[in-house]
Amino acid sequence: MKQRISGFFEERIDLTVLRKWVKEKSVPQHKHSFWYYFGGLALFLITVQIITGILLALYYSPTPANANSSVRYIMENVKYGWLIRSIHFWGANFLVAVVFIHMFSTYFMKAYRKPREMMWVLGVLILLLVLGFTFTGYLLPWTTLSYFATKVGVNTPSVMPFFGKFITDLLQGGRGVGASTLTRMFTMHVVVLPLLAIVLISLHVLLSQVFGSSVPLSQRGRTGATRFFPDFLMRDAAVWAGGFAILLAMVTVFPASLGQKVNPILPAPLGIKPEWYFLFVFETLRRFPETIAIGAITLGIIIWLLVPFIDRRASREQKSPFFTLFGAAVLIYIISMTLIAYATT
Amino acid sequence: MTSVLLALFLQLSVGSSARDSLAANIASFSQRFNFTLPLIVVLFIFMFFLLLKSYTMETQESAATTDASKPNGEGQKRTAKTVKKVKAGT
Repeated sequence: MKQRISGFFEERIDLTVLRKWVKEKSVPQHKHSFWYYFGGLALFLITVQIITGILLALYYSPTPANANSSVRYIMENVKYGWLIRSIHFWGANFLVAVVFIHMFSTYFMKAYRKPREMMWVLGVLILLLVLGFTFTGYLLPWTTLSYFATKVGVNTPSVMPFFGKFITDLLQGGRGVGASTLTRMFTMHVVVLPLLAIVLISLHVLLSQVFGSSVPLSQRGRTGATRFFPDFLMRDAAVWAGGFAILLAMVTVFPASLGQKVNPILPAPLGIKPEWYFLFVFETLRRFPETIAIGAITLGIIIWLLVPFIDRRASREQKSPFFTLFGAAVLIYIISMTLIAYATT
Repeated sequence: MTSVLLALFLQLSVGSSARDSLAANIASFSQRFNFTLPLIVVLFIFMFFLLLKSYTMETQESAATTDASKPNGEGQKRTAKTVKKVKAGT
């Protein structure tokens, strides 16, 4: 049977190149190899989000009248609906955390250096896309918290020069957050961002296959190699299984809750704050004048995107301690601002 | 399922000698190590389809009692309960 199936394809497509690639593909083995697993885990979590997202879309209704009650219906009436929504909720949190870990581990291993510059650029864009997914998905349950948090979120870009107001209008679709905003967020969450994600993730994965895993400068000459098929893939699968087990444990112990349906006429409740991954942005906006804060964040993202092209020492396979310090400073800033925001709100 | 996944995780993450003895211990479950992953995948797909069946069947049940004013028949169910209460005089 197996031979008949492979024979069918052999007659039609030349699989020699694919076979050679499968046979020869290997992953470097050294003391920092552990960090390689986070890329695969992120891809696995994205798959989980796609599957649960499709299932939620079967019942979700993106109108102000029905959005909150349709999510409540999923959680209270649909069999295993609470499970699917909780996996989607916790999966999003896990995904953001894993993508951040993947990005910083890549940064500190200087895996962005030549010839992998574009992999880094794509990776940062994917992180922004993941944050875009969480932002657009946040409004969909149409709760008091999600409504007012989105209101702050969509109005933030308006202070930017040139195209700030355009972004706000594009997201909002009217004078304030309302039915148009919900429709636009839903469309972006289920159509626009997934299409972009398919393109960016495919290119990112394709490049990772072309270039293979990068070996940190400190580990050159000290590496072994593990065959990708089946050894590394089996370990990857074990990490996915472990990650999924932790995700299910979180879902079971702390199932996602649903806030009250928003009444837009009422004033915003006190103590509104965004999800943990936006807290450092929130705190930056609170502590500095809005224009300066947004300008600094935008500039920071551009510099972060261009790091492989600025860090020429790393591209020449030389150590670049300045960029290690810069990365550490960014990481410390994000963590400290997040903690301050937690402590003070 | 979580425990099965954890077992797989443990089996694969421990060293090769420990893994062999662990595999030997669950020999009744899987005679060969290579058999474990496909089995888990098949089990997982089977369980996912069971879940999918229950999850999607709700549409058919509620479709018959859909009230346009509420999503997916929620309103109709409540209305039916209310009618019963009214009839019973409560």
